[in-house]
Amino acid sequence: MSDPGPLPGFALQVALLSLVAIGGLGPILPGLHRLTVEEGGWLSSEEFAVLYALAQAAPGPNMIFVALLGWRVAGLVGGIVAISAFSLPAFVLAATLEKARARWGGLSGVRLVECGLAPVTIGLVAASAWLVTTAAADAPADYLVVAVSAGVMLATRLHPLWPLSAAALAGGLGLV
Amino acid sequence: MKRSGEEEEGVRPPAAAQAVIPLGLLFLVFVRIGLSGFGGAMPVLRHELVEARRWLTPEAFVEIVGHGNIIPGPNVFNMAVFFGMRARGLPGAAAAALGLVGPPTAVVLGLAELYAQVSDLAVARDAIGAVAAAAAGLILAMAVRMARTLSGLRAIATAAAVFAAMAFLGAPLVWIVVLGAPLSVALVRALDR
Repeated sequence: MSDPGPLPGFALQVALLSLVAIGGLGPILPGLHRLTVEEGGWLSSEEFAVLYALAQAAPGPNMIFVALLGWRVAGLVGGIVAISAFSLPAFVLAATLEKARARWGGLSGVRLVECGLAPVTIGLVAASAWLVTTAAADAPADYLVVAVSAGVMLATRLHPLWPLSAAALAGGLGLV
Repeated sequence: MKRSGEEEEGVRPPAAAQAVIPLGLLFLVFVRIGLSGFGGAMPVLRHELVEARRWLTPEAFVEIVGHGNIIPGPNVFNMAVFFGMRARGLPGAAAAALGLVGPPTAVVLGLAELYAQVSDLAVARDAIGAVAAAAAGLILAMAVRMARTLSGLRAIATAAAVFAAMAFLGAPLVWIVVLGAPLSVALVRALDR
């Protein structure tokens, strides 16, 4: 057997993070950043943000970002292993919860738990925005791009592909 | 195999002809939801399951959204598993989950290989820096949109505390959730009723 490399350890960490991904990927972006950039050193902060952009630009749920991180760790196999490690715990939990609901009929306290979890999720997504912004922007022009991109998303119903490609164009032309 | 007594409450029989949703169709519908869900698959999911296919009642859809919010994992993914499980048991859950995530994963990994081909070009390097900043803007917009839904001192203070712990104190994410989430639920219980 050859050395499996960093993939098994990485997959385990991804599975662990998936267990705290309440509401989706947003809340665990700082955890994924810490795992892949700060501790693993598999990619730079900038690449992290670019791969996030790529996942946004592609069709599908944004959890496919995890496949891109795995790809950076160990190529195509890494990508498939990462998305599987991320999905499996949620799959087991959701299937179990649905089975329990079918058996006992209805679940009590769902509203209560939802109300409690929402602000935690929102605080984590805000922290994600903060960390990714400070990682991706180092000149005033970069902060302008962040602000314009966020403004466009909030004020219009445009697809994220628009601000992303406008930024690519402006960057490629050396404007920002 | 047909077991017509199998439908659960909330799952409508697909038209009159057949009582059980075929696994292949279930898979294909979720492939479609996955590949058309640009920037948020939830509206497409609702459209397909409630309006186009009429597999779920609007009430059952809302209930499933609530369940998706209380367990970890992306909401849309959880809902695919709930629905697949409700309609066809474990094979149904697997078909829905694979249909939702499989094809988009293949597409994005293909894009990644393309990205690797061009990322060393100088012009690409400049473009990539700007795209990174724009991506940060997307996350910022998501945070602002979610924060607008916060109401009441209890919710705002909780979100602010979680933000500070993560962004400034560098607290481990797992601990913030493992300790913070139950605490937050307990606070709702104590203060909001």
